[in-house]
Amino acid sequence: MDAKFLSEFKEIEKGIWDLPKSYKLGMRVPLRIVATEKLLKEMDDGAVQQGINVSQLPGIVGASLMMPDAHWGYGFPIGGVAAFDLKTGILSPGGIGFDINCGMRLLTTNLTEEEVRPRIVQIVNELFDAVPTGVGGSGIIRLSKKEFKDVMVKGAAWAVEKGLGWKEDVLHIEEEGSIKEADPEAVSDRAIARGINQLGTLGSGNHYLEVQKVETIFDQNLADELGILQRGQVVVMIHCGSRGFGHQVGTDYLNTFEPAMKKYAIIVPDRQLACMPISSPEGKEYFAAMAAAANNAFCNRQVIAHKVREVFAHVFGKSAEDLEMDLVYDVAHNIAKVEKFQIPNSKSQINSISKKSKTKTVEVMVHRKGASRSYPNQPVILGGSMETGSYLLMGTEGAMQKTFGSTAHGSGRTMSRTQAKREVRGEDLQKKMKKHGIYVKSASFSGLAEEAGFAYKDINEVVTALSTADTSQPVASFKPLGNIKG
Amino acid sequence: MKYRFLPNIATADLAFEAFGRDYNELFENAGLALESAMVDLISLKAREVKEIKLEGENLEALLSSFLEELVFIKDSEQLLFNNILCDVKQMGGGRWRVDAKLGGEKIDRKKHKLGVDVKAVTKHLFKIEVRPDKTYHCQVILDV
Repeated sequence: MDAKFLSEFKEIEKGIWDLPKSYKLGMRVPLRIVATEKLLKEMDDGAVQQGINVSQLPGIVGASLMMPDAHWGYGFPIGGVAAFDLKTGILSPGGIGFDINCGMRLLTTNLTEEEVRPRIVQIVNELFDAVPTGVGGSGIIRLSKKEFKDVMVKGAAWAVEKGLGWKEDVLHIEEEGSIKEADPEAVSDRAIARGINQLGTLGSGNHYLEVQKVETIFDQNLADELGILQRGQVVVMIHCGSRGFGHQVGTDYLNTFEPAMKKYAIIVPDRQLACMPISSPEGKEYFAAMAAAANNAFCNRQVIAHKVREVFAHVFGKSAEDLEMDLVYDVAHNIAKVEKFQIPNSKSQINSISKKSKTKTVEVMVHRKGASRSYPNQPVILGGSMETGSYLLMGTEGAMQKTFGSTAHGSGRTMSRTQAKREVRGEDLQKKMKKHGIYVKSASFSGLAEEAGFAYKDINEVVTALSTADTSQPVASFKPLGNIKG
Repeated sequence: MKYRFLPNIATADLAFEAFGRDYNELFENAGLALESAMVDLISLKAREVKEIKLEGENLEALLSSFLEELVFIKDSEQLLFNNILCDVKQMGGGRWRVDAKLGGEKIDRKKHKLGVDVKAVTKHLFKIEVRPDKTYHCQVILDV
């Protein structure tokens, strides 16, 4: 961040930085960034500008928030959180992302690194065959239109009903894997045509399926409760979303919202911020379609998890139950939802967000774009770059008070994909990772290069920022052993 | 130059600019830029031909829908293209239309050198212009 710009920020409490709304005409609330001083300094100006744009949207409550892994996206910054009043506020596809309900899922095993490492090539190769990856990527499950609509309504439970999961899985998914407001009628035929053959596919970009080992346990009691028992234990992490179906829902509604904004006299600083009043017919319809796409994503990760269980059962000659492949949690990080929070009663409370002052309960539409829900006693999964590792954290009361129950989602990019490809060839990166004991199989070498570890922020620094601001607390960290990528 | 990818815009996404001597060529090159993000165009053969016709209320909207259509066909029909011919025309009432012939083939991850899956065509910093030197130019950010 530019030094002059940086000097406008004030640390209002440990690890939380405010740019007051007086900074720019049109800001309705402050811009508030969760970061260490280092990450704040390194935050790119494009992302901060986008955070300021968000603070200008109608009906925004509290602050336009950015998490420590924030970076320059389109519309909202990636790592952006914003809550809107249900009566006066808006709903924006640009505050969710095209990949609706992109999210993280973590499975345990009772295997150790010593047992898994000798078979990692076989495991990764079998996973690569079982879970289609990459451009287009159609799956093995063939659905009728009616079945696909059932998926939109039931989410993860649909897969469990079909035998692609365990009953208790849905208890460990945000919203139990199904958002009730979903309505298949709000979804276009084009969205259905794009997504109907993609259930159980990973996609590409930063999406991955990774076999990891537990590296450090920060809180043994919490870790025990979540089934993370010791260092060297093997876990599986899945990162993906709603595939072409969700992408088309986002595209469709962005295109209809833009011209419709005139009707509601909404002016936005960036076309990608096109939005509709939450209470408008258009807003309600998008919410119903978005929920359908979110449910599709929950189901997608459920089907992939089932494939993972099958592969492990095959490789180790034991059932997935015997391998204790339990679902730790499944958390969304591109989504908008109606949630309740206590916020300070008076408008002058901005400088004392976590002090006990008079509060009121509000129901708001929280947009999380590249940000995870972080409720107390709810696990949060932070996906790092494939070279550097990932984290399991626990949500906190602090997040409820300061960030509308939200925290980061990953390590956050610092380098563009185009630049990363200039720095390293995918083939060389694959060899280098193999030397470090990480076996990677990808549908695309150029895609692999784009995901090199140096293109990302330091995930440890991101976790330090979250812990300092108490928007979530670390439970364990993981290092990759094997990875499949799109 | 037909198109190039821009390293310093939108960190997590993929920004490109495309050029042309007229709108036909600009649309063709923008289309090729998008396809080239998903596949090495040399590894693709034009075995199938598909024709599409689209209309837009202005040129920006038309270019957006043209690129969105290529993304749509990638998922719905599993087709990628390395041959694109466009005929872009202005119609009455300020509306625009494109008739495009697309040559390519079905995705085969064993045969094709695949790149990154394009999720959507964003409107962020979207630009289409005729420069003073009469080059036709556009800038597009893809969500990948």
